[in-house]
Amino acid sequence: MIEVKDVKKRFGRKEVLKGVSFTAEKGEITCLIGINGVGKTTIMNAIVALTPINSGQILIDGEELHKGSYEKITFIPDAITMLPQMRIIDAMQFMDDFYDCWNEKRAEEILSFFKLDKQERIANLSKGNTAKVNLLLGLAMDVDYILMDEPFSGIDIFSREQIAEVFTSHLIEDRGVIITTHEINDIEHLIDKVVLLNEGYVLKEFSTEEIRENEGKSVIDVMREVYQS
Amino acid sequence: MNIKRYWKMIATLSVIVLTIGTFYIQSSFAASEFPDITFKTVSGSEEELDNLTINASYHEAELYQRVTINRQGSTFQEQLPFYERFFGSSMYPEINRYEKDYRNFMRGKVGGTNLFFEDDSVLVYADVMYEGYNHNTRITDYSFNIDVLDKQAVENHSTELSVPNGNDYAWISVEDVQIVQDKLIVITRNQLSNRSGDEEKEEEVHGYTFDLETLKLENNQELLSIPRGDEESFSRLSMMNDNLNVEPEKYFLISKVVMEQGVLEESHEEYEGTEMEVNEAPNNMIATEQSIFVYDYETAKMEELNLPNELESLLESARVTVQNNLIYFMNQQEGSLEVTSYNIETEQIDIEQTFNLNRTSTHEPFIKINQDRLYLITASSEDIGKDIDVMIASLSTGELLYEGKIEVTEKDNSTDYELFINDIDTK
Amino acid sequence: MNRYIKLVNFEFNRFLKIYLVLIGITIASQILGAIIRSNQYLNDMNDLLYEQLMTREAALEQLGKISFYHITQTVWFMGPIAICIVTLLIYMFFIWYRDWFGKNTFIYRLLMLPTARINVYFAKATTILLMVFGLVAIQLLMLPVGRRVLQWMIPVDFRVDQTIREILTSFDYLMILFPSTFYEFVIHYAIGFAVVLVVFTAILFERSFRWKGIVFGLIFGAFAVTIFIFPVIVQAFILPEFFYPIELFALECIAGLVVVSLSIWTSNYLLKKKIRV
Repeated sequence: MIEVKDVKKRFGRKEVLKGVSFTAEKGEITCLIGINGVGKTTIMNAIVALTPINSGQILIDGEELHKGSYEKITFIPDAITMLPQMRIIDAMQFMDDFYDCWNEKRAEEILSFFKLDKQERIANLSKGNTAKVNLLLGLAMDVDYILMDEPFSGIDIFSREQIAEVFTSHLIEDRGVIITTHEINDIEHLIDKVVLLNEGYVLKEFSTEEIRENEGKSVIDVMREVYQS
Repeated sequence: MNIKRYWKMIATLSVIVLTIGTFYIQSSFAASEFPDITFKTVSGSEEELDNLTINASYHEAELYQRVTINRQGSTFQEQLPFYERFFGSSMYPEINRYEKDYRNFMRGKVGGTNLFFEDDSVLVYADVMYEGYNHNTRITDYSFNIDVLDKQAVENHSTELSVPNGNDYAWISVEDVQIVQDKLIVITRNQLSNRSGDEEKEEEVHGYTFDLETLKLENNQELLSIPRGDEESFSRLSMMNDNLNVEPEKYFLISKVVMEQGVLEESHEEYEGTEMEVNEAPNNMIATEQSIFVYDYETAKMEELNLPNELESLLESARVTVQNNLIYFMNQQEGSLEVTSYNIETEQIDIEQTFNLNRTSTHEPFIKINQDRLYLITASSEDIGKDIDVMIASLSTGELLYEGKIEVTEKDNSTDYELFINDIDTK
Repeated sequence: MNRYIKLVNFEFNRFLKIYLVLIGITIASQILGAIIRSNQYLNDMNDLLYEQLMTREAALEQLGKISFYHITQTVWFMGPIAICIVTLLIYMFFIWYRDWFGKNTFIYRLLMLPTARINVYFAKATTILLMVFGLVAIQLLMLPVGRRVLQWMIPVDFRVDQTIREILTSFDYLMILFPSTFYEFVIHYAIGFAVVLVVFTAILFERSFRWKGIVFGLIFGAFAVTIFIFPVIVQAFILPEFFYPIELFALECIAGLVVVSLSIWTSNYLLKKKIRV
């Protein structure tokens, strides 16, 4: 379980996170939703210690993040984390070099699923393919938690479908996923839990199944309720 | 780990290690390739060399090294272990010894042996420091910096006190430090500054007397002075005592030369014993008056020496050095060296000896007198620094005790080297 | 350790192309310089001998013999050294900033490696050191090459052959790169390495606190310099000549170690707690 407890973060005078708390379970897909600029990316960065927080605590399976944690949790930002001059195969080699949890077999599987050419240079990839490679690098790691920042933004419709398909596959299955997005449509049916953010606060944290069954509402319905009130 | 993927880095690393390693191994190899420099005895007793250490500079192609030569052989600066090169940085062996024996006492004390006095019980350091010019009071301040070490108790007491009338002087230099009974005497040369108001005097020699216990200044004696020089004439003082000597001395000798406008004189250079920092004589001046003054530390009196005529005439051409109560006049002739000593106390000529020089050398030989021994080192002028003769003789008997050569054995048989004698030490 | 070596290898290969270009420029320019300078000498000499009809002795008297010293004084020789130094100085900054800027977000990857982040710092520093030594080695190898070119072009009567050591001692700037003893070599480059570490720390200050970090970085740099020269300041102004050379050397070693430790400790702290992407 990833626990975010009362996290506060300032950039200069601007307080971006004003005490954010939520949890994300293993085996569930948790979606951080909010209008752009509400600190979604900052939360993601904070969870994997890519930006310092001013107060609060973040625990991964009960402990604070340390260097070994990166074999357990990974973050896929919205831009690719490899050098443009690398070929896909070089990027995979790099991952294999540095991560014990790198799963070569799964990487090959994803490669053929996305129909990517290993020899292609990252610099020459289309936007959609770049996003796919980025996803590949995260998904082929045998980690318990995967964080994804806007995996669908700025990508063509076919790529988007292909990526969405991943979420229902065995590639995700037992893992805990935190995903940020402002386009909920593509994945509404996939997500287990929603954290609605606004101006640095958590407005509402709820299980999609519960509200569907108990209140008969969709995620969009709830969002409309919350944001327009 | 797949070695193949690291080959570029490994190759680079190998090139680095091999190249730089080879370069420095060769360099240190070259250092061990220093020649052996030894004395080669021609005649006499080799034991005479025991007290002799020669400080020289060795120059061969890319190499320029300080080297010390004694009976045991030669040691080049670079042959010393790394940490030892940090010691003995002073050019005075005496001071190097102090730094070893009285490490803490010697901290912060820079300068030559002229600032030190040593006997069995004490080591004294005395210097005059320039303290700076105060813009408010318009006063230039100098201070005595005196430190006395009691060797037995390993205790020191020191003082810092202003030099009287410091404002009058452009610079002050300490020439000698002596102890007579319970008094400490510091002899200085004081160059007068323009603001002293004294238009007449150029320079003064002072004897400052301190109480050894309290280090209070008890007496400030002006021993000698010279007038300001002009186009017509000017005077020059030289301190004649061996300033390498830190041991007790009875007399302090000063030579005074008055130069006047005259016929063009063949320029002749003076070496040891003369300091020419100030007012070097224009070439067309000639010495019209030469005299020697003796300061007796015990009686604190300054007197002009009445030299016999034959010695008076030697003053211009001979080299003069002082040891205890004897003044040695060394007059180099073609192929020989005449040494005459004059006893200050008896006012008599003490010895007169003539030593044959093996080769005619236009180069000034290095001469050192220690007790009864005359040490003489000559280099031939034709073949600079390659043929160096060493001669040790008894002053009292005139007997040649040792005769030899300094021999350089090059490891690579090259003859493309030069050896310059910087200094000789006879302790 | 293993990941550290992999990181060094990775960083090394990243810069390899520019590095090879630097080496290429050095080799080409210095050989060309030797040829051009020798040729110029030959022309001058020919002019004296065949145009002005001087005797060989008179011509030599006027022009002098040529030695490798004349080549080291040309821009062909010094230019590439300057280029290499400047490039490496710039690269000292670029090696960090390239990971933040551009379309990719490689710094995410570096900071998320399952190894202590200080290894990234060490790897980058090691890379710089490796590159410096590599160029130093190449330069050392180029000296006999240039000398051989000179020997090919100039008849023996018109040249003075110098040993490598003579070439170095005849030119002060080269003595900084290649001091005469190995100890001094170690000291020179240890100081250089300490400077790299301090600059890296200053960069990490900037990367952690951005604008404010520039100020922190500059303060840190000034502080490091102060610590390093502190023994010398004491020796010069506070307790004149108080320390013996060996003591001063020991104090300088300690001061250097303090600076290096402080840099590493601070960088470790910044990378762990303050760095942002």
